[in-house]
Amino acid sequence: MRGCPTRNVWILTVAVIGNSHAAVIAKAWNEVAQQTPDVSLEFFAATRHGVEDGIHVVGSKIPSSGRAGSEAGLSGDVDLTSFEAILVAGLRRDVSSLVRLHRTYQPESHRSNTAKKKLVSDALFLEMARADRERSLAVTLARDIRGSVDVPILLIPHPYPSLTAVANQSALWAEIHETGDAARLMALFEMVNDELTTEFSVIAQPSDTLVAPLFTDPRYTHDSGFFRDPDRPSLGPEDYHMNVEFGHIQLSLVLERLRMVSRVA
Amino acid sequence: MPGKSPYAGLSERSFWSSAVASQSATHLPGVYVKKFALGEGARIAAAGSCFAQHIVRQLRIRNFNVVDVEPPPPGIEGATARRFGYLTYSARYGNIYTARQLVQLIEEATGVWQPVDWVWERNGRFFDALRPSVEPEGLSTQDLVRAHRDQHLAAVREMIKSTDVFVFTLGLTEAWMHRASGTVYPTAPGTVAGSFNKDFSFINFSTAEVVRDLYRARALLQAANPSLRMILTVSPVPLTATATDDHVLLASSYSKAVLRAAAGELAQKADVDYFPSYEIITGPQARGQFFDENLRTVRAEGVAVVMSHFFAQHAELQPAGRAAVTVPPASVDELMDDQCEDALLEMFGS
Repeated sequence: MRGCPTRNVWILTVAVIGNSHAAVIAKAWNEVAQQTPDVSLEFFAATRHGVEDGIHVVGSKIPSSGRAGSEAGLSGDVDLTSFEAILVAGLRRDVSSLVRLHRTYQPESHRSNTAKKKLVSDALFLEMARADRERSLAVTLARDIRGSVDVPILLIPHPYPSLTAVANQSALWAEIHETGDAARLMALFEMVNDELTTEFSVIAQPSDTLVAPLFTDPRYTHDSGFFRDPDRPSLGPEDYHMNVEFGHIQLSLVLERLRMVSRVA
Repeated sequence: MPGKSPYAGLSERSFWSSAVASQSATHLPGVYVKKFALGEGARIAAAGSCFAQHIVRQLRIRNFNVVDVEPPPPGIEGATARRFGYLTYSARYGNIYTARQLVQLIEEATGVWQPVDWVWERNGRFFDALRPSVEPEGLSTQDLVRAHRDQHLAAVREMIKSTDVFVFTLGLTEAWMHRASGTVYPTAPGTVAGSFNKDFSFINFSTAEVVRDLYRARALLQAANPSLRMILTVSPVPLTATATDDHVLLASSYSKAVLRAAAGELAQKADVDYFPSYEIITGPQARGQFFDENLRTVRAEGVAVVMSHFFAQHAELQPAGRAAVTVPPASVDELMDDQCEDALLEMFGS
């Protein structure tokens, strides 16, 4: 195992770079850090919504100064050489963008209303899903990091929305839920994520946290509102950010994967 | 002393020695003199055989106003876009090799004609036989192919109405036809999909037939869009293979001669111009230098020379401050190899 010797214990030092969705992992970590002596997680996550585009690798650092710092809200410079592993959490690797594409484009095997949609083949929609993945900040940042330091990189996408989104954000989610296209979109999203596994360690959302294909059990968004940006007006009922219970599930997966990839490394 | 000759006083471009023999292959003054100015911001649509892809690409590189009624979905670009028929022409109709194909497309889009036997199958997937390259893996049902084509035809109608200048590159005279209906396809049955049988027959269009088809296409286009003008050009790319009994060199020569003659006849009309891609690449002055080692593929330098003659005459279209751009050779070769169904015929050779 690689790591830093401290009092005869090897500690795996990990940088967590993410957006508001990393906050639940941080919250969970704060509760278990004392009982996890072999790992040290340092969070550089931004809490703000939609401002992550300022995050770039410069040399072997992700600076918190200038545009990156002010817009991304990083808690400090990320010196990538100081860590044995990097976790990229959220950062727009999100099924929402694929669902938005689906509102305009109708893949051949999908069932939603075709009247106003542009028809595309499944082969083309697969390419669209891949392109959507490649555009995500999580993937572009992870690639930049990989070009800078030779350490294991883990990716954890945004959680799937709560089933409450079907009612609360119906324009985006209701159609795919009712037609069954949600299952097809989720399968596609996970398939193109799996294609990343030659480069990164991708942590998928456990199926037992879902209440329907592509929709998270609403119990995991209950009382999660405090993770939202306090500077922004209310976004209404929380459908996208999970609570600490979910954070513990993600954290356990992260720790398990970290131990696995660090052994391999 | 000889009497007065009609050749006396003609310009240098009228004489072989001064206009061709003593000129560089890359610069032939007067070889193309535009018939009409296109006008700033002219909306240009393009179709034709593979060589037309270069014309479209060069226009796009220079930020000309190329009509694109079927743009790629977000994130689909480069080779992936072209693999699905995007960014190749002004709509996803694929290569239109013959004048008859062009007539069919316009007639079908404007509702005066219906193709027959145009959904072909391969390994359980279904293909639009009239544009088989735009969905390389086909679709799962025949109904889907029809639905996709309906959307495509709506886009073609939009293209016709929103075009000022339609550039058509004539490529082939040889085609495969549905015997009973006369429906002509861009590929032989069995090449991309489908299977060849007695329902299909070979046709090698004559000059008269090509002329008639071009007049028909022009009439249909201008019925929908009276101000639309045309620029015709002939692809300099020789035939990959011939289905006639002739040697492929003779068959290619016949095909190009027919297309060149037909284009020349149409270009007698005030609203139709002829652009000499064929002559710039294949003329003796070029000494074959613009062809790749296979003596068929046009090299990037050749494309650049062709387009420099076009842009020199249509400077009014050149966006301010943009210099001439040379296309990277690799990109051109990729286009030629990947997006030409007739190149697939190579695999049937010994």
